[in-house]
Amino acid sequence: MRNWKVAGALLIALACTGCQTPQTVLLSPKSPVELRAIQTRAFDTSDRPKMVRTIIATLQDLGYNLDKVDAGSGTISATKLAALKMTASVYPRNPTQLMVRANAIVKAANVRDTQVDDPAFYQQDFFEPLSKAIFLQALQVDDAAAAQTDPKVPSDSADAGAPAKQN
Amino acid sequence: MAATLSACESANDLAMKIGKPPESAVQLRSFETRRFDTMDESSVLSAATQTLQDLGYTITESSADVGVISASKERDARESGQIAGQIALTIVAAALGVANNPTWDESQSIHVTLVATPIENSKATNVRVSFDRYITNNHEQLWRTELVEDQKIYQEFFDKLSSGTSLHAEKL
Repeated sequence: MRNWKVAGALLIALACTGCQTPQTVLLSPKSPVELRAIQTRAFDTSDRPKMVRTIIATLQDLGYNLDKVDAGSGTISATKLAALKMTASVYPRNPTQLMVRANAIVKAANVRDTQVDDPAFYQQDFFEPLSKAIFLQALQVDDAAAAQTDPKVPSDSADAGAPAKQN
Repeated sequence: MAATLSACESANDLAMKIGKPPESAVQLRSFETRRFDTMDESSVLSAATQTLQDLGYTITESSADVGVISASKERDARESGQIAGQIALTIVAAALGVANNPTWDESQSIHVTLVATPIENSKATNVRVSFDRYITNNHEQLWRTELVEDQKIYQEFFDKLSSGTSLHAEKL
């Protein structure tokens, strides 16, 4: 009788571990530098609260439901139709520019959560609508140094720390 | 718009499919937005919170400094017509020797995002509210997700919101 109980408990334990599949996100095979270029744009504005509000409006317009908004740190998380999770963050690049980084994850039934790494998705389904909403061009940031906020980083293409170039 | 997920598509394909702007974006925008003649964003937000609570929603996120409220509720999604249809189909299928597992909408979770935005150079505040719903079937599978596009639901929400405040909701 006792053996049955032990066996039963073991069975239940096994059944429980069986349904706990590891839910780590399947990350993109692309390099961090490449991903940063795909997911990041610079904007010629230093108005961070306005940028946060515009991102919120853009995501709502695209049909996302807002999950978490932290204006202080400039982070917005949203989900569209249970299957697409987007996190956008806003941070200063230099005194006159802001950087916006977006990261999307697909959450489909019976499939492992997967990071989205298609440049077309970020461009067409996020940065273009955002750019239209804020009336500013989304500037491509295509080198690694440009994504850094430190103006002392020597780089020929990054105009960080050169507000004189600003119109 | 409804999203149907299938396992054979890549994550990028799915993202492109689900992430694109809703087809009815322009129409949705007009259903979802009203203008209120006040600059007091926080009073609009507290009225909206009360309206959502009156409608049985639980607030899941509130970020007053950027005018955001998110809320959700669970509701029964069963419709006798759909269930009867499925059972009838199963009986017919069984008579023909085919197995049919009757499937119907069992429950739904409804999510609402509300964003208040002060209009620059004016004394008004825009409120945009959007609803979506996730429907779970009687086999406990999430099988349908959609943006709510029924104008009536938005109209009812704004009617309740205006009656809860002394404010008048103006269509854009």
